[in-house]
Amino acid sequence: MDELRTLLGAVGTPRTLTVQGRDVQRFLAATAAGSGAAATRPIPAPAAGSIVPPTFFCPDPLVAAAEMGLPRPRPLSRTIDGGSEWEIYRPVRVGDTLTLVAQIAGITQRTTQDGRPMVLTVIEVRGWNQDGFLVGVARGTSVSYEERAS
Amino acid sequence: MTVIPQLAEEIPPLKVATTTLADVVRWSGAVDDYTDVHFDAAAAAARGLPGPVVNGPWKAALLARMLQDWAGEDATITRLACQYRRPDVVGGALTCGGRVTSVTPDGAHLVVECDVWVTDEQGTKTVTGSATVRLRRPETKATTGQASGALASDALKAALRLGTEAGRFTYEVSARDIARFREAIGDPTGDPQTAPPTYFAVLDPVERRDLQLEDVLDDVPYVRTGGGNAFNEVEYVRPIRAGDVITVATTYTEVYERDGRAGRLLFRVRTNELFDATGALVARTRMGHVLAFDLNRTRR
Repeated sequence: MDELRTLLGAVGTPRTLTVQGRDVQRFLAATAAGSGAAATRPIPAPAAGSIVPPTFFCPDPLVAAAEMGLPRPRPLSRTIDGGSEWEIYRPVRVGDTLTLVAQIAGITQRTTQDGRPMVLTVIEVRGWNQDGFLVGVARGTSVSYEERAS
Repeated sequence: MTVIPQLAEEIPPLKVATTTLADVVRWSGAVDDYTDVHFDAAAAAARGLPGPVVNGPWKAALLARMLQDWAGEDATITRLACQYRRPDVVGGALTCGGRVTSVTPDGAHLVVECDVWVTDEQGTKTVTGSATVRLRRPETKATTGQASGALASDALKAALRLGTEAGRFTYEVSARDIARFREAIGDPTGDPQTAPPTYFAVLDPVERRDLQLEDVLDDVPYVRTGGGNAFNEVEYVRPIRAGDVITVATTYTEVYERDGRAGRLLFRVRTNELFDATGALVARTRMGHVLAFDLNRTRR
């Protein structure tokens, strides 16, 4: 656990990206109404200036952090995505340039209900727009636990 | 949404009759997540799962869409928290649901708290969570003013709480802060224990983005063509010294517009009152900021 705690505060390589209408279009298609979540009608690419869906700036904080080179601790035999949280402070629009910074914000040791060891790692991704405004914070909780003995 | 949300109101559910690998592929492509457990049956089996499972953040994005569909495009989802409690195997049904747990007025807005969840076809909650939705109160919507090109509308003034305190923030002033400021203004040898006069204007929680009071300006539908600081005035009572704990209370006092070279100019003027830890007034500053808009071009 001490070794894990040395990762606390670690920061990944910041990533800067421009919000493209085509990327937002793909996101909308992936969450559109229809049979399953599939689109029943074409989804046009949003125009410049359109507000994007709330989780778009960092749809999966654990995946985003990995892309930014931040290690995701997997200290026990199984590691899963335990949850996500987004706080949105400013609307993100097509055409915005975002800078994302990922950091390991918390590492805590717990036990499962039946007493097996478990480690929760909270990875936080902060996003700023081209005007310097903090647009949002996304947090992912990686849960690592020991599998039941078979 | 044209009506005000009510406590305990059920949010219309969003249903996915059958999740498919196509759903997973679309999501994977959208977010660049190619973790094999979501589409590879053998990889899923190796992890003890009966089949590929849909992504947790995809379910969260569906919840966000459910909330946006319900609250309307003008609403802002300001927070969404989800715990992924059980995997949902591809091929099952999902139902996203939610319920209003509180409705609180906040200036020109309503803050609506909700519980949200996703259930599988057995009705078991596989995701639980909560969300905050921020809505403009219908009576403050800048419909007539902005439609006719007015920027400094009564609705905007109401949203900025003109004439009443809009927020406050507290700063601890250190010798390092003062030294860095002196360095920045070309006075590195000045007294690091006493802030120079221009430092007073720096303690502005809106400019420093410690208070986000101007999100209502995002409602202005016109293209921005410029903007910045218009003026700062400072009325001193005593110097600011290292170790001071200064609370800044900010109040919008004027909102007006006029024509300028960069377009139609929208001015916001605030008074900041700076108090020390004893509550004594340290200074009063008057901050003017301007944004320029092209009224012939709309953003969306």
